[in-house]
This record gives sequence, structure tokens and C-alpha cells, in this order.
Amino acid sequence: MSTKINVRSPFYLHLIEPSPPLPDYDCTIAGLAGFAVDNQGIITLPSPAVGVIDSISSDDGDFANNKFPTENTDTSRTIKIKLFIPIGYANTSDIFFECPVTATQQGTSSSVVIPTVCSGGPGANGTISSKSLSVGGSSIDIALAGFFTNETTYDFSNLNPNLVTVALSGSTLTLSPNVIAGSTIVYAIARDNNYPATCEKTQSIAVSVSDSTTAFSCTAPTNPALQGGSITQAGAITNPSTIGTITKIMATSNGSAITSVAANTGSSAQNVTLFFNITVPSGYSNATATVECQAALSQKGTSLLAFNCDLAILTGQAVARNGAIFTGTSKRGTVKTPASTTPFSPVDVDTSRTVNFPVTIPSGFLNSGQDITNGCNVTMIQPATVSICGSNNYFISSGKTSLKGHCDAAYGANKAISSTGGSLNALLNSQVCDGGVAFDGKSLYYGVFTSSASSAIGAVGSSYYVIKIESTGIVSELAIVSCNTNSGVIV
Amino acid sequence: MSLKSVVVDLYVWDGTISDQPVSPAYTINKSVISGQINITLEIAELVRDFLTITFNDDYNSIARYVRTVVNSFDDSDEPFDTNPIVTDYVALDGYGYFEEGTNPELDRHALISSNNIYLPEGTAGKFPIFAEGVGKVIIDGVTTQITDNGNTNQKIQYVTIPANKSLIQVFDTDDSTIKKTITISNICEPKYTPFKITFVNKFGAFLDFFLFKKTSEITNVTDELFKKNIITNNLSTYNTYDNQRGRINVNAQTSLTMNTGFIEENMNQTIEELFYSENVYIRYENKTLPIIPKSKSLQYKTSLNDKLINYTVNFDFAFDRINNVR
Repeated sequence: MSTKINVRSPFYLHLIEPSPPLPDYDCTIAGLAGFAVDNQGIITLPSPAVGVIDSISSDDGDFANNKFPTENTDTSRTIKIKLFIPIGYANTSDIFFECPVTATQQGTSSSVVIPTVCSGGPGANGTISSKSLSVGGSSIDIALAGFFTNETTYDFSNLNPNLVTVALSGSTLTLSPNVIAGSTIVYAIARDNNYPATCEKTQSIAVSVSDSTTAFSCTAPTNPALQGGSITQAGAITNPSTIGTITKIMATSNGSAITSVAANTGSSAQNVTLFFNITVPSGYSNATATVECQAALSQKGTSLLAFNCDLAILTGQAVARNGAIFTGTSKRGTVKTPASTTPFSPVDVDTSRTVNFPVTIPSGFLNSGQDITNGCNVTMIQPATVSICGSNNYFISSGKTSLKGHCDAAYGANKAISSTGGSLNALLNSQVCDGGVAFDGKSLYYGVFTSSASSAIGAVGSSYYVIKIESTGIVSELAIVSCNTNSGVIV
Repeated sequence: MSLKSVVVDLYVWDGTISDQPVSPAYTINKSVISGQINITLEIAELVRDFLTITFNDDYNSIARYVRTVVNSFDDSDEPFDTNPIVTDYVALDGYGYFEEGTNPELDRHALISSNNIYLPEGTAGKFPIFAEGVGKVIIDGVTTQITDNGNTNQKIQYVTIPANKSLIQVFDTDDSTIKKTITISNICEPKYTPFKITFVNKFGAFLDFFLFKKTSEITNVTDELFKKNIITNNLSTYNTYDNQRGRINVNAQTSLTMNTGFIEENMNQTIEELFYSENVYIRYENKTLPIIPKSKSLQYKTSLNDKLINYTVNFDFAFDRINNVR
């Protein structure tokens, strides 16, 4: 549908900086998690990180009535999840995207995926009869307690919530019709208190919803009857979604059946109108009849989307205080460590740093597997290094190799230093600096005073403080020394 | 990386969307004005060159496809990854009013402003719809399904109103939402001959409008006079039956003064659009002839002020009475 221009009045093109191209919604973005098949074959639907589940299907021949049969041993199960594509993706107009999910169904005789195979558990008591609902009609309650033995809790499995809404309150299962007709199988599940050591028991409920007042058509009960669908560039057709069954695809109305269309050799996407024969599902006044509906499907062109830094979306990149570069991650593609890995030098003030990160282009984009030309620049702030030096001033003597090395004479203590220690007694483990940088004490012993006025140490007849300063400027020993005694007192 | 310039290829064509010409009708280069971040281009005037209005009571769809192919370039004159951005439009020869703001798209269903159509009793009529926006039309319970085959020659479709019908309902493409309801008045006019005026209305579609009451025709003659020498050289006399004053460039302009008859106040919009139209035709003596609204002012009438509403409109035929087409 094109915008209508009325050319007797001006029509302005308002051209702004183009937004980055949108990515396609795919299974990675969908992020389906939590799919499971229990040992009775009952399916737990996965939850998508993005998008909403529309329906499920399976190519597995064992899949019937919305469940798999029980198996003696662990069995891999795959179902296809059809999801509504949210707004904001390049393929949003396709409406649906299908993703396969796989899980292992536990065996009932032996299983690797669980430590012990369940045994015992509730039993079945008769069967639950088929239930018939009408669109716009009343709900049906089923008292589950009468259909199981030795159960304590209940659950249900409904893989067709578009057709029927199922709710559980205590032991009462309520089936409510929605706005479309059709049939499905709902499972009631009973468990006891020892589950999962004991097995659960299931009872199937055949549910049919009828709408005898409505004839299925291309515009009813949903308008349009066909939704979504797409065509690949090569011409493979993904059928639109419909509540009926598509039995034939045609290029022209009432034409012969086709399975694909010609490849789109143009660079741009194009719309291709196809005609579909749909067998009307049960529940409608024209059930089993064939209705022909048309749909315009988008066929991609030959041009792949160019990948760029806007699509890559780099996060987590940083420059540490010591200048080290952290590579971080990217939402799409693979961000790599810059070829030049030399860290920056520490800085005294916060400093802006721009680093060029190579990013490998992911599949589905032009030149996948290669790096983005010129990489992606990320500008970060390298935080300033915190000064290690304290502001407490002291005076030290020359260094000696022993604690009482100064006892052979009297020594002055005139060299000014600073320390993080606030007093002589707090000098142990403190940082000593000279001129704003760590003092290289060469692991020698130094007499120390708070003032240069009383700076004589050694053989002076009174005790004094001695510190051992390592090459890093750290004080590793602290002692009060009196040359009149045989040993120093370590404080 | 910000927008620096654009190159816009403008294609205009008729037929289907796939009939796009190889070469654009116009290629426009424009840079961002310093201090701004966007570029504005006006294309309607360029597109209008490709709309040629002709009418011979045939109600053709006058529409064109317009495609803009926009290539944007950044500060370094590098193309943006999104290039090109292709947008398709359908152009009609319509217009919006000042109050309707820029880029007026107007209604996409029935291409008629008023909710009334007047037809002579026992006479069929036509009214225009925009095929992309209409699913079906029901006239007195009879449904006409509307399909759009994508060709510009049917983007505007003219639905036939059978004689003596009373109500038209125009539905959206969902076939359930009523977009417009039009009342048909079938007028019995035993005294005067109603004339059908067809004009290109606000939506760019041909719209019929009948004037039911008294019509008078006036011819205004134009000429020039000259003096000629009638003396005969050999006799130095002249014939008294020769004309000394001659007449040249004689022609005539025929005008019509027509009356609508009593109409609903709601028809003011139609009258207004008739006055604004550049293309007006009359079905006159079994021919379709172009006319020009001569009246330049329109005093809107209301049932409150004027009780019964009748408009008198003057037209000139859009040609000289004497054929001097060379």
C-alpha cells in the first residue's frame, strides 16, 4: 500500500540521517529456553526471550495429539516453535518465524538424564469424555479427582491456547472457548507427593470448538485468513499461517500447484502474490470445503545486509587504571582484542582513550567471517591512578644493613620523606615516598624522626625508632632501638 | 557520522509497479544546510508535470506511480549502509487545504467530500473511490467487490450508481468497516434540462455534479476594426457598397449561467471544489466540452441564513466559438 500524494499541494520529503539497518529476527534472538519433554511425552513449552509463541508442530512421526509416546530409553525430541516476530526487526512483515527446539525425553525403563527411573504413582480411573465447546458459548468444568487414583496434585498441558483456554483451580479443570473453531487434545496430569520419584499419570481430553454460524473464508474468522509467510531469495516458500490446512499453492488463481517460485535476481526484496487452497477446519459451517485465498509474500533480494559497528553493538570495553585494555563483548559478531595489546600508561587524571577493536562479521551479513573494515572505535575513560604516597612528613638517617647498625656512631636524620603512616608507631606497612614516588629503601634499616631538629641516632645515649624500608618503599619492620641494650624492641 | 548530502532519483510512471522506467525522471542533489541535520525536498511540483488530465466522459484513472530512491552520504561523503532507501507513492491531482497541514494524504476510500449525490430521476451516475483503500461498495444492498490489480489505470475506480438508488456504503479493505455513507437524491426535473458538470475534485478524481434548473447561454463577440483604402486608382472613385471600415479577428465566447436547484448545505464542499478545479467539463449536446468557472466568488449558503439553497454559477466554454485552432 503506497502513500497517496496529492500533487496540487506540495509534498515534502523529509530526509534525515538513516537509522542503522534492522537485523532479522532469528532463533538466536528468539532465545527459546525451558523446552522439556517428560517421561510421559508431555511437552513443556519453552519461553522465548524475545517474541511470542503462536503454535507448535513437529515432523517427528511419533508426535500425535500434542504429545510424544512413552519410550523405554532416553529419546531425543524436536518440535518446531512458530513465533510472532516483534515489531522492530527487518523481517517483522513476515509475522512468524519458526525455530526448532530439542530436548531429551526420559526413558521409562532406563534413563541417563535422571538418576533413577520413576515408578508407581497415581493411576487412571476411567477416561475423560470428549468435550464440545461453542465460540461465544459457556465453559466446561471437569472434576479431575474422579479420573485418577492416589493423586495429590494436578497439572495440565494445553498446546493450543489460541483455540481453547484451560485453567486449573484445585482439582477442577476449566475449558473455555476462544474465538476460533477447531479441535485439539488437552492433557490432565496427576501426581503424588513423591513425584518425580513416582510417575505422573495423564488423561487425554479431546476438545472441539465449533462455530456453526460462521463460514470460513479469506476474511473470517480471522482477516486475513492467511497471515505471515515468506519466500527466500532462491524461491523457497514458507507458507503463511492459517487455522485451516493449506493443501495447494498456486501462482495464479485456480492454477496448477507449485512448490517454489523463481529466484529473485534483483538486489531488492519484492512482493510475490500466491494463491492458496485451504481446507476448512472442523467447526465451521463449511467444514472440509476448499477455499482459495491469496497472499502477497515478501521475497528477499540478492543483497545481504552490510554489517557495521552500529549493528555490532560493543559493550563492556574498558581501560583499567593501570592502562590494561578489556575487550568486552558485542551483541552481534565477535569482538577481538586489538592487534596492538600494549596497555596504556597509568595517568594522574582521568583520560579519554579511543581503542579500535576488530569485529568479525557474523553469518547472514555481507562478508561474513571477515572483520569489519577499519574496526570499531570505542572511546573510554582511563581512570587516574590514586597516589600511593601519604602526606605525613618524617626524617630518616642513612641506611644500615642491620637493626642496630647505627650504634657504632651518632648519625643525623636529615632526609625528608613522606609516609602514609600517621605516627612513628604507625609506620609499619606504610608506604614511604621521596619526591612523590616510592622511596627505594634497598631493604636497609633507617633511623627515623618526626623532626629534623632532634635527628641524632645511634650512639647518642637514648632510644630511637628504626624502620626497614624495602625497595618498593614499604616499611617491613619497625623497632625502637637503644644502643645501650643488646637488642632492639620491635613495636 | 552525520548526514551531509542526499541524491534522490525520482521515477514517475503509469502502469504497474514493475513498469518502473530505467532512468529517473529527475535526479536531485542536495546538501544539508549548515547548522541543520535534515534535508527537505518538494517533489509534488515535479510529479505534476507527468499528470495529464483528459476527459471525454470516459472516467479514466489519472494516477501515477512515484518512486524515490534516496542515497544518503555522511561527512566523509561515504554512503550510508542503508542506501538506497526506496519509497513508493501513488500520485493524484488532488490538493489539501491549509488547515490540513503538510503532505495531505486525504481520504483513501471514497474520493468525494460531501455526503450527498444528486442525480436526475431515472439516470445512472458514477462516483470515485481509491481502490487501494476500499474492499467493497454496497448500493442499496447490492455489493460490488473492489479489487486493486496494481495498475495505475484503476487506482481510481468509478463505481456506477444504477438509476434511482438511494444509499451508498463504502467499506474499508476489511469489508466490515464503513468508511463513508453517501445519500443519493433522485431529482425529478420536468421543466428544465439538467446538465452534467464533471470536474477534477479535491482528491484528483472526476466528480459529476448536476445543475438542474434554469440555464441561459450568452455569446460575447469580440472583434477588431480597421480602415482600408477603397479608392480605385484608375478612376479615382470608390464604390459606395465597399466598406471603408473593416472587421477582423471576429470571434465569440459562449458563456453559460446555470442554477443548481435546491441542494443540501452539505453540498457546499462540492461547489467549493468546483470553483477550485482546473479541469471542468460539461456534457452538452451529446459532447463533452471543457468549461471554465467564470464566477470568482462564492458566498456560502446555509439553510439557517438562506432557507433553501440554490447556487448560480457562470461558466465560459474553454474555447472560442469559431474554430481557430491552428
